[in-house]
Amino acid sequence: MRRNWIISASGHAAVLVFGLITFASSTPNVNLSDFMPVEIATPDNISNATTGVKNAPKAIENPKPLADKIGEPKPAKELAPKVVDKPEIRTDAAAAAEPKPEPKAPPKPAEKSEPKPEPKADAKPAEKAEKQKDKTKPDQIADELKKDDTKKPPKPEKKTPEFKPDQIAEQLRKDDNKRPPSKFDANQVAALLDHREPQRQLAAAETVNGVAALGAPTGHAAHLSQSELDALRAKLISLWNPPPAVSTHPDLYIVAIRIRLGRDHRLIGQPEVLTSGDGPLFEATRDSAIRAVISAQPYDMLSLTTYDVWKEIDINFDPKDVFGG
Amino acid sequence: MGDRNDLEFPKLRVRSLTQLARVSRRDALAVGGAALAGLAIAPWPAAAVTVDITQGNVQPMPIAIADFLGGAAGDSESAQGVSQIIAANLRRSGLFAPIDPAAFLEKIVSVDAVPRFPDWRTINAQALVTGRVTRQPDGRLKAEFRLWDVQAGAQLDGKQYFTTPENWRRIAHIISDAIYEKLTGEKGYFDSRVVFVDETGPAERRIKRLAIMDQDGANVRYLTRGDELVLTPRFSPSTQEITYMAYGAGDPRVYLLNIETGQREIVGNFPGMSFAPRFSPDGQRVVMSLQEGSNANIFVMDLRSKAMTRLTDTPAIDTAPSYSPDGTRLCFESDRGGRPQIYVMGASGGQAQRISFGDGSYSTPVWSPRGDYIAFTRQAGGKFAIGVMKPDGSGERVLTEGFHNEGPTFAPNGRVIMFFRDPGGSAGPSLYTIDIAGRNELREPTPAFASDPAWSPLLS
Repeated sequence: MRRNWIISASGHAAVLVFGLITFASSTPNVNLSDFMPVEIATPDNISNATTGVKNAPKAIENPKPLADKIGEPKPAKELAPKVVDKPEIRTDAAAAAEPKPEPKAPPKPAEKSEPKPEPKADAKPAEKAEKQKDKTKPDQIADELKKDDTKKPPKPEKKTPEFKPDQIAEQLRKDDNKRPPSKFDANQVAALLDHREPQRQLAAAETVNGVAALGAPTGHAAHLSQSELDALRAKLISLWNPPPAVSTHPDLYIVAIRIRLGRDHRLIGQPEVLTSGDGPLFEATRDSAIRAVISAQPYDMLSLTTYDVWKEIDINFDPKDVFGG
Repeated sequence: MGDRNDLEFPKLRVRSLTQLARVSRRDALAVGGAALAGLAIAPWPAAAVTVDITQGNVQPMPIAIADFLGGAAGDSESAQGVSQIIAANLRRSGLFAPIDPAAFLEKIVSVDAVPRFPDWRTINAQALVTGRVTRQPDGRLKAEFRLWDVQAGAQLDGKQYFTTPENWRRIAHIISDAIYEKLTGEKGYFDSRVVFVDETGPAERRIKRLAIMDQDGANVRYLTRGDELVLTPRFSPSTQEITYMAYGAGDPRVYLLNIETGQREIVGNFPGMSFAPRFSPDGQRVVMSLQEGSNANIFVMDLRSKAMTRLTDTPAIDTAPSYSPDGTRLCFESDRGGRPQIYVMGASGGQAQRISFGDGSYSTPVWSPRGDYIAFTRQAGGKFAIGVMKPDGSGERVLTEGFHNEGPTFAPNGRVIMFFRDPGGSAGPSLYTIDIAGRNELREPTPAFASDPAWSPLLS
């Protein structure tokens, strides 16, 4: 009797345990192919996904410069394209005693740029030159660098109209110690500028500060929102009536068209056909696509706030799904 | 096709990327120039948004066909007739929706002036046809037309034709073909004719005559007197000739008839033959099935030398052969597998491959002039269906099904199929057209009962 009990109890227990393990681990019996991963995003999520954040209150209060790595604080000043720092440079240059104060220049060229203001006596031309340098944003510097390294050095000289080359030479002869380096040596300037390039990508400061303020120079433009794209697509689909014969080889009759739009949501000029092909069927397909983009005017589903994004749109008309795949 | 798709897509991408790269470089130069000039850097232009449209809204294209103008007072009737025939042709094709002329806002008064496109956009016309018919001093007719893209505001096509006044209908068909080709990218089929068997009289004493008409049912002419039973006319794909079978007193005879000249010659007497021979694409040979005891095999005959070459040699019934448009292959019906099915083999015979595997039996296969489909009659479950399949047997679809449908024949552009339907009972058969997608089934107007249609190639 007792044995029966034990057998019965252990049997039930085994069934329960088996069931527990099996049913807990097995996935529910549903058709997985019906699932589609869905991410819920409001149109705002996409259209606001910009690198620069307009309402960035912290950044204004944050005294730290924007910096991606720890290093010398100087380059961070460069990122701010304002001239606020320059008076300091001037006074330092006039004093000609301190090697440090030039915040822009990395250690090497600092020595050479120091003497620069001196020959110019009143330091004004130097300031001018500095200003021009400061105005140029990092990208511009890079661009100029790529174009011609040698063009750079003579520039500051040209922009000081008071001193003709000969005059400078005379002054240089007078001061033997400092003047030789004050001549702009192409290689040295190149070295100076080369050092700036990496700073453009990673700004260095004492602490890392990743808070963006009022949009970074590398910020992306806004995207078209999903609802705008959907509306644009829906409109073009409703208007595109490709010739039925493309159904035999839809892949041979893909037509890419570039349209340019004005702020009035209408086409500027004629649609530009980017793909080439020949034969009456390609032409008929192309014409059907052109008719679609023309009759889709006005493109008022696109918001003016993102005009810069949609002022030029490439549309690929691909008939692959038009006739049921 | 999937492979080609994969190949094609990257190609397109690359092209559009190079386009972008070109723009970027140009803009980079502009920005560089601006930098040298000491100006503030403008932001880099955003890359073009790319939108993929892979679906469309396929529907009959709204087209406005303005009444053609008559050059003189007497020409206006035939001028109007031309525009009406064009509208009817385009409507019957199922690809166009001619707009009711009552809705037109602009009255076309000159073929040479540019139409007021906004007026035509207002009534949603995608295309506009204008034209003029003028009688020339030598008595001929000059017909001219212009096809306008209303949305783009540009002329798509413009041609003029000269013909004898009796031929004014043909001019309308030729213009219809030009419009059709420009807007669909495919050759038209309006300037073509149909040979068929005209059936009159009571069912037990039916008189069958060979007749020919324009594809729209106009200009019916009778080619035989009705003293013989005629069957299965076949059009040559390259010449205005037909073959047909006639049962007189004895064995069925196969005739070759030139439609232009009316000249008729006997190809031969063929006992037990059930279908007339079909032409090779060059019109120089005919392929046929000849009975040998309880079997039938396929032979090809040179029309000039009358030399006969055997293509199959099987203990089965091989019949109803039809050439592919390039002349390299043949499709035919055979019961070698038990029930009649469709097979494909090389034009010089050899190994045949079965391509139909559906229920029931398949018969009367006919290869499309485009080469992309084989049309057939399928008998299953007490019904006859007309269908198409690709030459490899894939993509089979039934276009229409009913009590009795038979004898498909392709329009010269391969987009439309004509067949005959017999409703049973005391009524007789009549002709129908349907497009190869199975849409737009229409009854073909004929003077009486009609069967066994055969569509001609384009006349021009």
